Amino acid sequence: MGNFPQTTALSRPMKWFYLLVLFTLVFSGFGQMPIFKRYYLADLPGLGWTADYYVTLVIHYLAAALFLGLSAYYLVFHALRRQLWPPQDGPAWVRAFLLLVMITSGSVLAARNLSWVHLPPRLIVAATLTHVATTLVFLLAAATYFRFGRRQA
Amino acid sequence: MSKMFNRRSFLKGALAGAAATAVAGVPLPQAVQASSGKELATLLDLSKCIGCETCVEACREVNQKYQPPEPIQPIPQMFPSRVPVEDWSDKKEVINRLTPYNWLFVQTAKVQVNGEETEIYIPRRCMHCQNPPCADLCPWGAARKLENGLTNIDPDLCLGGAKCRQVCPWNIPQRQSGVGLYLNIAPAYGGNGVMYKCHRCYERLEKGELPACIEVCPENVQTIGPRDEIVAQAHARAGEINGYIYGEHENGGTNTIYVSPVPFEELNRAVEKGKGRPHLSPVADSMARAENLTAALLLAPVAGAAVAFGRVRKILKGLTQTESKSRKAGLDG
Repeated sequence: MGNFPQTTALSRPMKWFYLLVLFTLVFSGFGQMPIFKRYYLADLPGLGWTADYYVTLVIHYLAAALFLGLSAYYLVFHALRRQLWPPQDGPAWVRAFLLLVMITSGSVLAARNLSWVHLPPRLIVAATLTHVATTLVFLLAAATYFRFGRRQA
Repeated sequence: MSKMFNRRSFLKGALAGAAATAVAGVPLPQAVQASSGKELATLLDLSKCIGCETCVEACREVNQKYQPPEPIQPIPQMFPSRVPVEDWSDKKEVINRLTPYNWLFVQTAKVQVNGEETEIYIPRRCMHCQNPPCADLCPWGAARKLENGLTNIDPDLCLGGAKCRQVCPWNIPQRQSGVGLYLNIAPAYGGNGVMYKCHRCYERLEKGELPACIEVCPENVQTIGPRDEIVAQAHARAGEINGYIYGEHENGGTNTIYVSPVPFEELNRAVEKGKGRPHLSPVADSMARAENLTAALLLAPVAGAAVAFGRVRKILKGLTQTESKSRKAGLDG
């Protein structure tokens, strides 16, 4: 495996696709809060569907499936190249940690939505708040990185 | 019919006033107490209901301590201004629909039974779905389903965004603005009060007592028990009266099962519907799509990993071929 060529896991188009999936996740996730109708987004032509929680929920699930698929692909590809861990720089550590927390809390919420699963209310509240808070921190961290981090790097 | 009206009027006056003292805390039947951890459901036999509203009075009396506190005045105006402030604090006495102060009301349907016009009375409250979208989709986890099959909204955590009302197929939860946690955060910009609805007297159930509406009913309209038994009872009763069932499969199954001598389509046509007055139409499972998509969440990582394996294998195969070619070239040379 030592002679493994320096092939990246995600090609450039795939990276853009990954970003699109992330954007869809965040957008449909915010759509789970009662804000799109309140703050006129759903009034814009062609965006009436954003006020329908069941529509944004399905979009969130589909985007989550794509995200999990891409993540698994990325992890396995690098694991096989034995270049997975540790991440090479600080931002990668932060990103990996935040994504892991988001996936874990999101998994709890997806399990909660199954009729045959019963979870303690406190766990659900914790998972819900963690999911939202981690997303906000992720967005803040990403904005900070793109504004300041890359220039220093 | 006039007989029914007279009887109703008499009982309404005589019983409703006594409802407060009547809610004494009757223990749950032994069978129900023994079924801890099981989902409990209620059966409402509409052929028995006389519309006396004793249940309504008992619900209001017993749940006084859970009702909204006095809202702050003036209630903060919302931003943007089109977001409505919903204040029921000066309409607490309303009992002909669901409000934040009235979690149970009786609908009336004038219908034909055996060629004779009669009235069917339908006590309406939260259906306590088996997979409640209000609890599943609450953005804060304030609404939750308990193990015994009831759905409850935590008034200390609810911000009153009313998403639960929008995703509920019957639009059951009702909002009181000017109360609750949102006042301490950003009252004008997020949240709008607290949502209220029937919690099936969860504290009484915890203490091993009957929910108030069941306990005080003079006609024993309601029965509570493990869901499978209640469903069996509902079918047996429907068989006896050539009746119809509502709630067994609605929204994927609820823990409130109605049995009626009249088809529910007819009842639905006859009842007054609108805000705070839920319908009786068939309801598809709101959470079915999400439940089905859970499989996609599980399969996607497997597919991603398989593609990664495939790609690495292809690269390694390419490497091996290149190596053997160059070795061969070296030997030839």
